[in-house]
Amino acid sequence: MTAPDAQARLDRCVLKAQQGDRQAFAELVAAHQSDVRRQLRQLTRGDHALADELAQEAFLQAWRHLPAFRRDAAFGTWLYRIAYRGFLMHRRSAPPDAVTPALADSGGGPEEAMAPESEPGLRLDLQRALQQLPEAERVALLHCLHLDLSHSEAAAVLGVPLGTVKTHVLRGRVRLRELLSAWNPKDPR
Amino acid sequence: MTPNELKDEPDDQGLDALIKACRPPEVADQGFTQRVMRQLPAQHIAPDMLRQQRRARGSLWGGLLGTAFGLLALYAGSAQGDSPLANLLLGWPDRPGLAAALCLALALPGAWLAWQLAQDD
Repeated sequence: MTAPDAQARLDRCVLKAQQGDRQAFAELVAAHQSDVRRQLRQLTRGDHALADELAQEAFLQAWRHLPAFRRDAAFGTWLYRIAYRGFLMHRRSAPPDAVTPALADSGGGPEEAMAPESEPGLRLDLQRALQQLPEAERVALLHCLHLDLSHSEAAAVLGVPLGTVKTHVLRGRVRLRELLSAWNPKDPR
Repeated sequence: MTPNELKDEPDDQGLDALIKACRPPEVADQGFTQRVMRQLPAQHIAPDMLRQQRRARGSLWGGLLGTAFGLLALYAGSAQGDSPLANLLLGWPDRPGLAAALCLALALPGAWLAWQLAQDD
């Protein structure tokens, strides 16, 4: 099945699910679970159990509010937004250190996410550098680069103005370059 | 992506590519879908119910804001020339009527704003 066909099929699933078709919703869960779980694993800094729990709750919320989904954004973006809201609500209600596991576990664990062609040391340093970024910059970079959202989609997910997302991404990149400067001695940035 | 590739990029493309190359792998399993489907409520929240909830929220916030400003108006208006509120907020201790009118003028837009906020899902 080609990508447009698959997308058209998912769009039909959204319509059916809005009319109460549970099987169609199961297809949507299967299609989007990976993206939502990865988003939450990053947000929770690698706490897989918590991320999956929040992901489940996000899908349940999506089902409950599906009739209100106006299809003016992609279904996936809408899901990300619900998941991000759920994460924020959890963080507000949880003790401060409850969502901050060990640094090395960021991004689902370095050993697990190793891209075959990347330098292991560089990758590890990148993960650490990402963790040192201010929350807003880290979250903006995560949504734009790890989840491949456009700036405007990321703004919709995070509930902030477009300009704010662009600024956070820009600052995050500059800071990452500084933090990774040991890998690039000729570039003092 | 290697350190050299990161170094050679004049703009941020090298860094972006590195970050993308290091993104976590896909996580998908049938068990997750089944867990979600087991917990799925029988029905959606009906659109009518969502609308009612929004209206209730709008009424609550609108009522609270309207009442707050209304009370302010009452207080400012009932005080005579030495109204501390009018003095503090408006700097017109001898014009409590004006203070009251201003508070009343704020009450309606306040209620309208609260209503609009409640409409936004």
